[in-house]
Amino acid sequence: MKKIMKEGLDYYVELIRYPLHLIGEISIFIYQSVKAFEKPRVLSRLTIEQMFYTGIQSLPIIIVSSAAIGLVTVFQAEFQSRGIMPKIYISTALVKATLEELGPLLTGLMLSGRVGASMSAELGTMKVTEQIDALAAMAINPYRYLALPRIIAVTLITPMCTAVAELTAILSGFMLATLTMDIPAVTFLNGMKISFYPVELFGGLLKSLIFGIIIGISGTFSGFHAEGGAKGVGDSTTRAVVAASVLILFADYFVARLVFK
Amino acid sequence: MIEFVNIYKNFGKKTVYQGLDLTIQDGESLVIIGQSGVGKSVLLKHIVRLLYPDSGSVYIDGINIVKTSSKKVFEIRKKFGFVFQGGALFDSMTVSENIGLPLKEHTSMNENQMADKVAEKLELVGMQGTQQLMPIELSGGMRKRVAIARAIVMEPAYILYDEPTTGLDPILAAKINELIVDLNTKLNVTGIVVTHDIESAYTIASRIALLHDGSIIFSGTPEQAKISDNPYLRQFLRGQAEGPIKISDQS
Ligand SMILES: Nc1ncnc2c1ncn2[C@@H]1O[C@H](COP(=O)(O)OP(=O)(O)O)[C@@H](O)[C@H]1O
Ligand SMILES: [Mg+2]
Repeated sequence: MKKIMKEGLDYYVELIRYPLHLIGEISIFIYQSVKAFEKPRVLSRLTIEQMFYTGIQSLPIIIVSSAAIGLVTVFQAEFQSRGIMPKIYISTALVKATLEELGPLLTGLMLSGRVGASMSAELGTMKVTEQIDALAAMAINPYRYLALPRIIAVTLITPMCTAVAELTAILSGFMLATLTMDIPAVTFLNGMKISFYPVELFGGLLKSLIFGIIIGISGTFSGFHAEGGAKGVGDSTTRAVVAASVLILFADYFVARLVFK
Repeated sequence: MIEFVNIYKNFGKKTVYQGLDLTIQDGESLVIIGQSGVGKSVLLKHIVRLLYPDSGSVYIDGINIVKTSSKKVFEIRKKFGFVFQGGALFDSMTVSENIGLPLKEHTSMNENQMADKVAEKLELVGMQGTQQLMPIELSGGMRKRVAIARAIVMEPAYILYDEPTTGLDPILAAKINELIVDLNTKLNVTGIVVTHDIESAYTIASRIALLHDGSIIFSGTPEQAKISDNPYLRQFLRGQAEGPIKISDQS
């Protein structure tokens, strides 16, 4: 009985201790990465390389999934509002939903699965095969050479991908509406302009910038902290995606409250 | 000169060093032997502060690397070449990019000068013409040799080798040993070699140190090692299962 209580207590102590420990480690990681900002020429070369790499890597999946989102949004808007609301509002709904929520959120989640995971797996493999140690041992700061370019690249690429996703979703919604729902193109375009506020576009892109930071830090951090061979790399990759996704969902809520109040 | 002074180190509940002392003179070729899991690799990592001791000091040419600023640490690391156990080649880069990376980062050489330097070092390790290969295309022995080429490209004063001959066939092992000896004698590089290959130890070492149970329990020339009556050393050198070192000691 006493033993069970002690184990139970230990479990809760660990439950509190572990997140605190993790927050500490992440703070150190972020501090090291920020401090590694030097040699801007090399840094920007590495960052641009990463932007190309992650951009090309993720564009297909962004385009395909946001096309699907455009279709389902228009389909639902039409179906749910049949007989209640004039059809001009279908594109209003599409634009609002896409720019404020669906575009940034979908892109954030897709990129954490695509870019965050691959970053974490790549860096995790480098960690467990001592490539990160090798870099440090040859007096090259791994935070500057590996972490920082990736964090900056994904932070910049996420809003760009979000813009592409939003365009694609609106375009696919436009096609669906004009080709299958007898909605004239002019009606659709006019509907888009109803209650469009630039601040919302800006809010959406600001959100995606924050999502990018989240993806970049969780991907690189979990990679740098991978331990124990191939299985360790798999574990840290999973953690990177789960952590980034959960954080993105909460950040979405908090930024929405800030921007759209 | 490298000096470990009273080093203590734990990983969680696992104790690795308990008051370890060791001094390595310039020009030496020191071979550190010991059971697997005893802390040989960890010791090398302490020299360039890839790991910190819990307490104690590590002096590199008189500077305590444990306490110094990270800027200074990067300067000190330039004196070292580090050959990691698996080679630790960057697998997204070609052989020549691997070897050229330190040159690209730390010197103002142009492409041609770098290519010459890379070719020179590759030739030294018997790997000429492999510039454009990717690490994945190399065998274990080739990786080790490329790793050595990369470690010496900045012409370091010290080279740290982590099990340079483990897993290689005897002929290749002999070739690597020869290379280590050459670098030490011809270029006057201080070598610190971790191994559990006794044959290699005798070939390479100007001094052998035995790491056991958290500290250096023997240190001397190969000749002294052969005639030593230290029971741990005798058991280790002769590769006997019976003796003071218990297999259950091993992690
Ligand atoms: N980064 C680390 N975190 C936790 N434990 C470690 C770490 N590195 C090494 N160890 C442990 O320290 C001990 C010594 O390791 P090592 O120096 O690699 O042994 P070896 O003598 O075989 O090279 C081992 O028990 C190993 O599990
Ligand atoms: Mg080892």
